[in-house]
Amino acid sequence: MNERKTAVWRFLAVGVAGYFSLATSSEPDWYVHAAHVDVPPPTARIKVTLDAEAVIILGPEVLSIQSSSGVAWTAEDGPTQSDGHCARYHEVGTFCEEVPGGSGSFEYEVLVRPEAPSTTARIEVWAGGLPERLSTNFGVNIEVLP
Amino acid sequence: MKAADLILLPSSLFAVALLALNDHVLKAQFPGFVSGKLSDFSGLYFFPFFLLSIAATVWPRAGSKRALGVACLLTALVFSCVNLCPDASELYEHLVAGIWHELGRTRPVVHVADGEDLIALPMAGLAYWVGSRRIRDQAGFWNRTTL
Repeated sequence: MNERKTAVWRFLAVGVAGYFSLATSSEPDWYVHAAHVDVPPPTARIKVTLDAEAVIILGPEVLSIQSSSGVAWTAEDGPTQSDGHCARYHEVGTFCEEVPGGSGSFEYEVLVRPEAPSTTARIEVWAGGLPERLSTNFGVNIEVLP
Repeated sequence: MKAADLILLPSSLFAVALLALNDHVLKAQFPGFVSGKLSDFSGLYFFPFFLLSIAATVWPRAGSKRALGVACLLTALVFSCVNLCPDASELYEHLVAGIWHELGRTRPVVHVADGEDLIALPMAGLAYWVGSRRIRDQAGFWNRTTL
Protein backbone atom coordinates (compact mmCIF):
# COMPACT_ATOMS: atom_id res chain seq x y z
CA MET A 1 0.00 0.00 0.00
CA ASN A 2 1.49 3.34 -0.90
CA GLU A 3 1.94 6.18 1.56
CA ARG A 4 -1.01 8.22 0.35
CA LYS A 5 -3.45 5.31 0.46
CA THR A 6 -2.26 4.40 3.94
CA ALA A 7 -2.80 7.98 5.09
CA VAL A 8 -6.35 7.93 3.73
CA TRP A 9 -7.12 4.63 5.47
CA ARG A 10 -5.55 5.91 8.68
CA PHE A 11 -7.64 9.07 8.51
CA LEU A 12 -10.78 6.98 8.02
CA ALA A 13 -9.89 4.60 10.83
CA VAL A 14 -9.19 7.47 13.23
CA GLY A 15 -12.51 9.08 12.33
CA VAL A 16 -14.49 5.89 12.83
CA ALA A 17 -12.64 4.99 16.06
CA GLY A 18 -13.12 8.54 17.36
CA TYR A 19 -16.83 8.52 16.57
CA PHE A 20 -17.49 5.22 18.30
CA SER A 21 -15.30 6.21 21.25
CA LEU A 22 -17.43 9.32 21.77
CA ALA A 23 -20.67 7.41 21.23
CA THR A 24 -19.88 4.70 23.74
CA SER A 25 -21.64 6.19 26.74
CA SER A 26 -23.98 3.98 28.74
CA GLU A 27 -27.61 4.20 27.81
CA PRO A 28 -29.62 6.12 30.43
CA ASP A 29 -31.99 3.81 32.27
CA TRP A 30 -34.08 6.57 33.85
CA TYR A 31 -35.55 9.72 32.36
CA VAL A 32 -37.36 12.66 33.87
CA HIS A 33 -39.78 15.19 32.48
CA ALA A 34 -39.87 18.31 34.58
CA ALA A 35 -42.41 21.04 35.21
CA HIS A 36 -42.59 23.77 37.82
CA VAL A 37 -44.93 26.20 39.50
CA ASP A 38 -44.28 29.30 41.60
CA VAL A 39 -46.40 29.38 44.72
CA PRO A 40 -46.79 31.93 47.50
CA PRO A 41 -45.58 30.81 50.96
CA PRO A 42 -46.34 29.39 53.44
CA THR A 43 -48.63 26.66 52.07
CA ALA A 44 -49.69 25.63 48.62
CA ARG A 45 -51.91 22.95 47.25
CA ILE A 46 -51.05 21.50 43.91
CA LYS A 47 -52.56 18.79 41.76
CA VAL A 48 -50.12 16.71 39.77
CA THR A 49 -51.31 14.54 36.91
CA LEU A 50 -48.73 12.37 35.26
CA ASP A 51 -47.88 9.37 33.14
CA ALA A 52 -44.73 8.04 34.74
CA GLU A 53 -43.34 5.51 37.17
CA ALA A 54 -42.62 8.01 39.93
CA VAL A 55 -43.28 11.59 40.94
CA ILE A 56 -40.48 13.61 42.50
CA ILE A 57 -40.99 17.02 44.10
CA LEU A 58 -38.12 19.38 44.79
CA GLY A 59 -37.66 22.92 45.95
CA PRO A 60 -35.04 24.59 48.10
CA GLU A 61 -37.73 26.30 50.14
CA VAL A 62 -39.98 23.27 50.56
CA LEU A 63 -40.26 22.19 54.19
CA SER A 64 -42.81 19.39 54.03
CA ILE A 65 -45.15 17.64 51.66
CA GLN A 66 -48.33 15.73 52.38
CA SER A 67 -49.66 13.61 49.54
CA SER A 68 -53.27 12.60 48.96
CA SER A 69 -51.95 9.03 48.83
CA GLY A 70 -50.93 9.32 52.47
CA VAL A 71 -47.19 9.70 51.96
CA ALA A 72 -45.75 12.43 54.15
CA TRP A 73 -42.28 13.93 53.92
CA THR A 74 -40.30 16.65 55.65
CA ALA A 75 -37.01 18.27 54.66
CA GLU A 76 -35.23 16.41 57.45
CA ASP A 77 -36.40 13.04 56.16
CA GLY A 78 -34.31 10.65 54.13
CA PRO A 79 -35.77 8.74 51.23
CA THR A 80 -39.54 8.47 51.28
CA GLN A 81 -39.53 4.88 50.03
CA SER A 82 -37.09 2.10 50.57
CA ASP A 83 -37.66 0.14 47.39
CA GLY A 84 -38.86 0.56 43.82
CA HIS A 85 -37.92 3.33 41.42
CA CYS A 86 -37.72 5.97 44.14
CA ALA A 87 -35.10 4.04 46.10
CA ARG A 88 -33.14 3.25 42.96
CA TYR A 89 -33.03 6.67 41.35
CA HIS A 90 -33.81 9.19 44.06
CA GLU A 91 -32.20 7.83 47.16
CA VAL A 92 -31.21 11.31 48.31
CA GLY A 93 -33.53 13.26 50.55
CA THR A 94 -36.14 14.41 48.09
CA PHE A 95 -39.81 13.64 48.05
CA CYS A 96 -40.58 10.76 45.78
CA GLU A 97 -43.48 8.39 45.45
CA GLU A 98 -44.31 5.61 43.07
CA VAL A 99 -47.18 6.01 40.62
CA PRO A 100 -49.25 2.81 40.76
CA GLY A 101 -50.08 1.59 37.26
CA GLY A 102 -47.81 4.19 35.67
CA SER A 103 -50.49 6.86 35.48
CA GLY A 104 -52.34 8.88 38.06
CA SER A 105 -53.25 12.08 39.77
CA PHE A 106 -52.17 13.28 43.20
CA GLU A 107 -52.89 16.29 45.34
CA TYR A 108 -50.10 17.67 47.48
CA GLU A 109 -50.09 20.10 50.33
CA VAL A 110 -46.71 21.74 50.33
CA LEU A 111 -45.35 23.76 53.23
CA VAL A 112 -42.91 26.38 52.01
CA ARG A 113 -40.34 28.26 54.10
CA PRO A 114 -42.17 31.40 55.29
CA GLU A 115 -39.04 33.57 55.40
CA ALA A 116 -38.40 32.93 51.75
CA PRO A 117 -36.60 35.93 50.26
CA SER A 118 -38.83 36.05 47.21
CA THR A 119 -42.56 36.47 47.27
CA THR A 120 -43.04 33.13 45.61
CA ALA A 121 -41.29 29.81 45.98
CA ARG A 122 -40.54 27.53 43.07
CA ILE A 123 -41.68 23.92 43.25
CA GLU A 124 -40.28 21.53 40.68
CA VAL A 125 -42.11 18.37 39.85
CA TRP A 126 -40.40 15.59 37.92
CA ALA A 127 -42.04 12.65 36.27
CA GLY A 128 -39.58 9.78 36.30
CA GLY A 129 -39.83 7.04 33.72
CA LEU A 130 -38.07 4.06 32.28
CA PRO A 131 -36.70 4.18 28.69
CA GLU A 132 -39.84 2.41 27.41
CA ARG A 133 -41.74 5.55 28.45
CA LEU A 134 -40.11 7.52 25.67
CA SER A 135 -42.23 5.73 23.08
CA THR A 136 -45.46 5.83 25.10
CA ASN A 137 -47.25 8.37 27.29
CA PHE A 138 -44.79 10.26 29.44
CA GLY A 139 -45.27 13.61 31.06
CA VAL A 140 -46.42 15.72 33.97
CA ASN A 141 -48.95 18.46 34.46
CA ILE A 142 -49.28 20.69 37.53
CA GLU A 143 -52.26 22.70 38.63
CA VAL A 144 -52.23 25.07 41.59
CA LEU A 145 -55.36 24.54 43.67
CA PRO A 146 -57.06 27.36 45.56
CA MET B 1 4.88 -0.29 10.51
CA LYS B 2 4.73 3.39 11.47
CA ALA B 3 3.33 3.98 14.94
CA ALA B 4 0.60 6.20 13.50
CA ASP B 5 -0.62 3.24 11.45
CA LEU B 6 -1.11 0.87 14.38
CA ILE B 7 -4.78 1.85 14.26
CA LEU B 8 -4.89 -0.05 10.95
CA LEU B 9 -3.83 -3.34 12.51
CA PRO B 10 -6.52 -5.98 11.87
CA SER B 11 -6.85 -6.55 15.62
CA SER B 12 -7.36 -2.82 16.16
CA LEU B 13 -9.99 -2.54 13.43
CA PHE B 14 -11.69 -5.63 14.83
CA ALA B 15 -11.79 -3.99 18.28
CA VAL B 16 -13.39 -0.84 16.82
CA ALA B 17 -15.98 -2.97 14.99
CA LEU B 18 -16.65 -4.96 18.15
CA LEU B 19 -17.17 -1.77 20.17
CA ALA B 20 -19.63 -0.46 17.59
CA LEU B 21 -21.50 -3.76 17.39
CA ASN B 22 -21.67 -4.10 21.15
CA ASP B 23 -22.79 -0.53 21.85
CA HIS B 24 -25.37 -0.37 19.12
CA VAL B 25 -26.70 -3.93 18.95
CA LEU B 26 -25.53 -6.36 21.61
CA LYS B 27 -26.12 -4.15 24.67
CA ALA B 28 -29.77 -3.78 23.69
CA GLN B 29 -30.30 -7.35 22.47
CA PHE B 30 -28.36 -9.16 25.17
CA PRO B 31 -28.02 -6.91 28.21
CA GLY B 32 -25.81 -8.40 30.86
CA PHE B 33 -22.30 -8.80 32.17
CA VAL B 34 -20.63 -9.73 28.87
CA SER B 35 -22.13 -6.94 26.77
CA GLY B 36 -21.52 -4.60 29.71
CA LYS B 37 -17.80 -5.28 29.64
CA LEU B 38 -17.13 -5.98 25.96
CA SER B 39 -16.91 -2.30 25.05
CA ASP B 40 -14.41 -1.72 27.85
CA PHE B 41 -12.20 -4.53 26.61
CA SER B 42 -12.32 -3.48 22.97
CA GLY B 43 -12.02 0.23 23.75
CA LEU B 44 -8.97 -0.22 25.97
CA TYR B 45 -7.31 -2.17 23.18
CA PHE B 46 -7.67 0.23 20.27
CA PHE B 47 -7.77 3.57 22.09
CA PRO B 48 -3.98 3.81 22.64
CA PHE B 49 -3.50 3.26 18.88
CA PHE B 50 -6.10 5.93 18.22
CA LEU B 51 -4.32 8.41 20.51
CA LEU B 52 -0.95 7.55 19.03
CA SER B 53 -2.23 7.94 15.51
CA ILE B 54 -3.45 11.46 16.22
CA ALA B 55 -0.31 12.38 18.16
CA ALA B 56 2.05 10.99 15.53
CA THR B 57 0.17 12.75 12.74
CA VAL B 58 0.38 16.08 14.51
CA TRP B 59 3.87 15.53 15.92
CA PRO B 60 5.89 12.88 14.03
CA ARG B 61 8.33 12.42 16.91
CA ALA B 62 5.46 10.89 18.89
CA GLY B 63 5.67 7.81 16.71
CA SER B 64 7.93 5.83 19.02
CA LYS B 65 7.64 2.83 21.29
CA ARG B 66 7.89 5.15 24.28
CA ALA B 67 5.01 7.24 22.95
CA LEU B 68 2.98 4.06 22.58
CA GLY B 69 3.72 3.30 26.22
CA VAL B 70 2.57 6.77 27.24
CA ALA B 71 -0.64 6.36 25.20
CA CYS B 72 -1.35 3.02 26.88
CA LEU B 73 -0.65 4.40 30.35
CA LEU B 74 -2.74 7.49 29.72
CA THR B 75 -5.64 5.38 28.45
CA ALA B 76 -5.45 3.08 31.49
CA LEU B 77 -5.11 6.01 33.89
CA VAL B 78 -8.07 7.99 32.55
CA PHE B 79 -10.18 4.82 32.33
CA SER B 80 -9.37 4.00 35.96
CA CYS B 81 -10.11 7.54 37.16
CA VAL B 82 -13.53 7.76 35.49
CA ASN B 83 -14.50 4.37 36.86
CA LEU B 84 -13.26 4.92 40.40
CA CYS B 85 -14.03 8.57 41.00
CA PRO B 86 -17.60 9.92 40.54
CA ASP B 87 -16.23 13.45 40.04
CA ALA B 88 -13.98 12.25 37.22
CA SER B 89 -16.91 10.37 35.74
CA GLU B 90 -18.99 13.53 35.78
CA LEU B 91 -16.14 15.52 34.24
CA TYR B 92 -15.87 12.89 31.53
CA GLU B 93 -19.60 13.20 30.81
CA HIS B 94 -19.29 17.00 30.53
CA LEU B 95 -16.22 16.71 28.32
CA VAL B 96 -17.78 14.22 25.90
CA ALA B 97 -21.08 16.13 25.84
CA GLY B 98 -19.04 19.29 25.13
CA ILE B 99 -17.27 17.63 22.22
CA TRP B 100 -20.63 16.51 20.79
CA HIS B 101 -21.92 20.04 21.24
CA GLU B 102 -18.90 21.44 19.38
CA LEU B 103 -19.58 18.96 16.62
CA GLY B 104 -23.09 20.37 16.33
CA ARG B 105 -24.93 17.50 17.97
CA THR B 106 -26.59 17.37 21.33
CA ARG B 107 -26.88 13.98 22.93
CA PRO B 108 -27.11 12.79 26.50
CA VAL B 109 -23.84 11.33 27.76
CA VAL B 110 -24.20 8.94 30.63
CA HIS B 111 -21.24 7.28 32.24
CA VAL B 112 -21.67 4.96 35.15
CA ALA B 113 -18.54 4.74 37.30
CA ASP B 114 -18.01 1.06 37.94
CA GLY B 115 -14.82 -0.18 39.56
CA GLU B 116 -15.57 -3.65 38.21
CA ASP B 117 -14.79 -2.36 34.71
CA LEU B 118 -11.14 -2.25 35.70
CA ILE B 119 -10.91 -5.96 34.89
CA ALA B 120 -10.47 -4.77 31.29
CA LEU B 121 -7.26 -2.87 32.10
CA PRO B 122 -4.92 -5.65 30.86
CA MET B 123 -6.14 -4.83 27.35
CA ALA B 124 -4.07 -1.62 27.47
CA GLY B 125 -1.05 -3.79 28.29
CA LEU B 126 -1.93 -6.11 25.43
CA ALA B 127 -2.14 -3.10 23.12
CA TYR B 128 1.36 -2.09 24.19
CA TRP B 129 2.71 -5.61 23.66
CA VAL B 130 1.16 -5.96 20.20
CA GLY B 131 1.98 -2.40 19.14
CA SER B 132 5.57 -2.35 20.37
CA ARG B 133 6.28 -5.65 18.60
CA ARG B 134 5.02 -4.21 15.32
CA ILE B 135 7.08 -1.05 15.70
CA ARG B 136 10.17 -2.99 16.76
CA ASP B 137 9.74 -5.61 14.05
CA GLN B 138 9.66 -2.92 11.44
CA ALA B 139 12.71 -1.21 12.96
CA GLY B 140 14.50 -4.55 12.88
CA PHE B 141 13.55 -4.99 9.25
CA TRP B 142 14.97 -1.57 8.36
CA ASN B 143 18.12 -2.25 10.37
CA ARG B 144 18.65 -5.57 8.62
CA THR B 145 18.00 -3.99 5.24
CA THR B 146 20.48 -1.22 5.93
CA LEU B 147 23.13 -3.70 7.05
